[in-house]
Amino acid sequence: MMKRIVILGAGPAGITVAETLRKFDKTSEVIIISDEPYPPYSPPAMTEYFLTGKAFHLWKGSNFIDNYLNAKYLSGKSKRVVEVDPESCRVVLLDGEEIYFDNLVLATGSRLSASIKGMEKEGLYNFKSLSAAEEIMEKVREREAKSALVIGAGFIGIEIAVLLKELGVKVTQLVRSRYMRGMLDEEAAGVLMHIMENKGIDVLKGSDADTVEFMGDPDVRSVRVRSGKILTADLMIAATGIRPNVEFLSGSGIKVNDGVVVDEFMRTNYSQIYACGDIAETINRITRQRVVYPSFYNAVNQGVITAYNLLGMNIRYEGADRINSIKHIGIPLITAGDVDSKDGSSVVYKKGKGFIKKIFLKNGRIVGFILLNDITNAGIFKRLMDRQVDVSSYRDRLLDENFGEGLLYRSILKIM
Amino acid sequence: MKSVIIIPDRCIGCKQCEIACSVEHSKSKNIYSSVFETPKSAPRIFVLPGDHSCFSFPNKCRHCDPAPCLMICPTGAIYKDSSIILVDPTRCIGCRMCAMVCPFYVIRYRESPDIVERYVATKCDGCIDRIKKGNIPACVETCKTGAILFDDLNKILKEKGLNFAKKVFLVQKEGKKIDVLQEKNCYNMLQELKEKLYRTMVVEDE
Ligand SMILES: Cc1cc2nc3c(=O)[nH]c(=O)nc-3n(C[C@H](O)[C@H](O)[C@H](O)COP(=O)(O)OP(=O)(O)OC[C@H]3O[C@@H](n4cnc5c(N)ncnc54)[C@H](O)[C@@H]3O)c2cc1C
Repeated sequence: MMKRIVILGAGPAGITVAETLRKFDKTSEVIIISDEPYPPYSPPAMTEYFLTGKAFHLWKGSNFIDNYLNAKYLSGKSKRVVEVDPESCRVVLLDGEEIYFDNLVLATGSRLSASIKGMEKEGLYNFKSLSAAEEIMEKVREREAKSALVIGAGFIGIEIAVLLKELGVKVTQLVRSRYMRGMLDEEAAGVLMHIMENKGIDVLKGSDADTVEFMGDPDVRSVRVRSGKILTADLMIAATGIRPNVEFLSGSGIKVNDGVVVDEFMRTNYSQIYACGDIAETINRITRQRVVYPSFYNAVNQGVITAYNLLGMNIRYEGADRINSIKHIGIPLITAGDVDSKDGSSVVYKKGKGFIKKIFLKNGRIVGFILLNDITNAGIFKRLMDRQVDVSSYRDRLLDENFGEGLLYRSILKIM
Repeated sequence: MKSVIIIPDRCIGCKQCEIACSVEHSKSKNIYSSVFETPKSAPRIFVLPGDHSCFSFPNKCRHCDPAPCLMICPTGAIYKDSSIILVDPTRCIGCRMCAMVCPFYVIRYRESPDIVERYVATKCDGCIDRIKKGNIPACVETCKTGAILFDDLNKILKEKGLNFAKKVFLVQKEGKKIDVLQEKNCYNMLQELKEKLYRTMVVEDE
């Protein structure tokens, strides 16, 4: 009998699983289920899509599933998966449909999260998915929204603030501690704040930015911050963080910690069920700690490994990368690894006209870096970091103009 | 299948490949007029210095398989055509994610004649247009020292292996004391000479 593989979620992770599978396996039945009424899309390209109207977000094309994957695609709100039963190998959809599987892939990604009073109320928008983004854009297009309050200053908060500003909306952003906390150190976050302010975004900080309650009845109309002030705008947008979409797994017996716990083969505690992407809790490539690192790169990498193992290739996942490039701020900014460490790390630092570059080292090995407005050798630093190469003998040359593949390659006996 | 193969020992750092690459990717494909074009054409191969005075290295895209840049591209702008990794500038949003994961740092962001509003990822395209016309890549054609070849990798490896075996055989047969690992060729000699010169200069400086 033909094997049936069911993939939950049509984000970068789920689609990569199907695409990789099809390179080797043309016959198995593949069913992809998404609760969003769109062809598969790429969230990192949403901002560009709304700015230009060009379909950048359809990174594989609108007919990818039909034309290349030879898969069945069930999509729309009624197709939301509400239950998984590993024992009988069955998933249940919101509309009552039951689907049996031989192998199941959990790739339902993540969604907005916040632990703020009033969070569950209507009228609070977010920019985490295309469905959510379309709701914001509808208000903007119909000119109902002339002002917006963006709560949060992480990756997604930056994108939506910049997008709305570009579209002519008056934007106020609440930055509780600093921009991209955990991904940028204080100096770089400060530069980023200047950039945002120069774009015309009002930045509120400290107790004026620490939201304690979403107010309004029944819809959110304003927020109360720690300083006691009440802030309001036409559009209230939460960008307070994200968490894995795991609710439908409760009671299923599938082990969930911060995300769905998987082994190095991307398998859950049920050997026929895999998980990958924003939903999965894997290990950090370097520190080997268990982590949930939601990013496009990790999602596709994990998708590939999941597919290999579904095919029985027994291939280990090397680990998740903590690395990102911040878009739409007008200058390139790449940040990777541990950039905020207090213990035993040293820094190679270079600041020049319009750029800042920092490499963080521990025991002679790169553990993180920030490259602001000059991304020379970014990938080379990543490679040295990934492999934990001892760079002590050329540490002070890392940020030299001449450092690069030439130096690494043409002295191979000495330093690699 | 033929591909571009680099033999770094032979590179003397003349940068003629950079010029040829730049001209090839200009609109006019003419060295004189290309200088006056906007946007100005720039090379996609980079001759980098090593840590000795005459160690240089022509660094270019290796067209990896699997290619991390292709995997990370969130808009599908990076794609593959007959084992060459290419960028469609009209789909590129300039997010820099490909440069972030390219282990060799061979992707740059530049103005493209087709795109006005942003810098887009620009990289070696394997001179795919030339190859389709039956020509060899521009950097290969121009290289004067045989440091950049367009050939079948397996063939080159076999030749190199045979060459090495021949030398070992000679050593055994004639009891010759030649250093089989350190091939003495004119480039090595040139390098030694240059280094000597460099060292004396440094000593004098101090
Ligand atoms: C605005 C924005 C910009 C970003 N920019 C970058 C960037 O530049 N670089 C980067 O690395 N990362 C970026 N990311 C993060 C990146 O998009 C995610 O890490 C990636 O999309 C994760 O892929 P995924 O497939 O695991 O999950 P998702 O993309 O979240 O896809 C999961 C899909 O499953 C569906 N789903 C959820 N629950 C169910 C259910 N019960 N039943 C059926 N379907 C369900 C969801 O609706 C969704 O369509 C960005 C994210 C956003 C929102």
